[in-house]
Amino acid sequence: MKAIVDHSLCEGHAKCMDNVPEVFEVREDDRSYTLLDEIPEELRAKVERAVQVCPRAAISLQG
Amino acid sequence: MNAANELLTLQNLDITDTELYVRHGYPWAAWDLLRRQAPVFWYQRPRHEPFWAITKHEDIGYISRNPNLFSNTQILRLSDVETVRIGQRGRVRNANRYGGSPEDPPDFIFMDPPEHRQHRGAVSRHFTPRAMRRLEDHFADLADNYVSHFASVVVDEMTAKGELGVVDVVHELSAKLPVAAICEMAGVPEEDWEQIFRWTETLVGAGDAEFRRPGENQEQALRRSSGEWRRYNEDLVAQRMKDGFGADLLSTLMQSEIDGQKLTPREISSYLTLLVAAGNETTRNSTTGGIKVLLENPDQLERLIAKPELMPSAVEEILRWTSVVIQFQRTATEDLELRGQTIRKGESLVMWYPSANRDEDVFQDPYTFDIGRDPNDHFAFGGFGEHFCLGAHLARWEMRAIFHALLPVLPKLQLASEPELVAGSLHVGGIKRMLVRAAG
Ligand code: SF4
Repeated sequence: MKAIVDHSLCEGHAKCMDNVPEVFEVREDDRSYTLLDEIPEELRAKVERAVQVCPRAAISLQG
Repeated sequence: MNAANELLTLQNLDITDTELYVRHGYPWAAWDLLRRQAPVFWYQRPRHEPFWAITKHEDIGYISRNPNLFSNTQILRLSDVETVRIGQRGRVRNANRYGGSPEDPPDFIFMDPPEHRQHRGAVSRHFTPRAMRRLEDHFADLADNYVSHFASVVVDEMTAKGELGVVDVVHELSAKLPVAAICEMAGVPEEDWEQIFRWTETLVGAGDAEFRRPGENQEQALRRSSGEWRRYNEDLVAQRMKDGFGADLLSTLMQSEIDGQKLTPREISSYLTLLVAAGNETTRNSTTGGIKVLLENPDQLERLIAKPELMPSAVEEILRWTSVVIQFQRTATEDLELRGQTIRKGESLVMWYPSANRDEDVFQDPYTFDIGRDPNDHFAFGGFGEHFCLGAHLARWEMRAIFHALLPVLPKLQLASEPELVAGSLHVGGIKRMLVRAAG
């Protein structure tokens, strides 16, 4: 599974980073970046929660 | 309708009559019934175009995440037919005066992606959490000043009049920080804040005689205040041209380019108005409502005083509890199904945010005020997605600052009146007055 952040939506709310710091990092440009190309199975539930709570609905999952 | 002894049913419930809001507050019981019995409900009542009433958190979330299916460009807020007509006449007048068409979006909330992203993106960096953190200390200083002014007014009143000494929270406290914060960010000089405040009040409250001049009707009040405000904005733009750009929002708007094109003077003015009005007409009411709910729940107030680190979650709970924005409207762009109901292309859907914020499928004991609530995925800033409130962090930081400064003061206050709601407003639950006095 991959997580993709749409940078035309992301405004740096950092809810993703609060929920799964292993996967998301909000950088100086106020945008979130994914740190892992493949999301390990044990983080799946947390990443799904991040998708749900992102205020801009900017995160999508593939695979 | 809905006399206290009459049983509430889908046939007789009413969620659109603003006089009922003024008399009884939000129609919580009607929303509860809709969520339970008809969460996607074709609502037909006199004085309103029919619409689908959407009351479940999940459905509002779905609509908000799918701006391609649910458009903002046609109509944005539910109003009675007369108010809708006033709006249409205003659009025609503006098009005649400035060129363009009455169909042009009045501001960027009336846009869908991709245009919406470009226009919102022009100013969004002013509102990010990082931008807000830079203002944190400044907000705290402002909040301390406003709260100590307020506390001294309360004490003076009590000294002068004893039991009869009451103070209006709205004007002596809640209104101040939101005006100051958004006007400073926008680049509006301090001597004009008072005037700006009056224009925003009229924009939302023109349906209430208190915000009109004697002899004016709703339409005349709206025309006057929006015309005056637009001319003011145009002068401000001219002045900024002369003085040179700064770090404020106005300078950003003036320098922004979208597809290689600068924003037009009309766009600059309407975006400025949108941001300033949105910054004013919301946080003021959540602050007032937050003071009320903390005074009514002394156990929660004590808990917050004992553990001030709960402030961020207390503010989220105040936002959920007060649910100041009542509704936004969308138009279906194709035929679709929602909870078994067939929605036709062109039909409109109205998302009732306060109802989502009491949804028992999402919030445990939704009618309990719990400053430690976690998780708290409320929709006080709208559903998550394309149009999520741009000023969410600004509102949060303002409220944290105000309630932090208020903590030592609140236990010495008591409510002296129920909040008085602005008449004729179905979009924002505006509070025009709420009286408190020093606790005896
Ligand atoms: S929560 Fe959403 S908007 Fe916020 S930083 Fe993460 S991806 Fe971006």
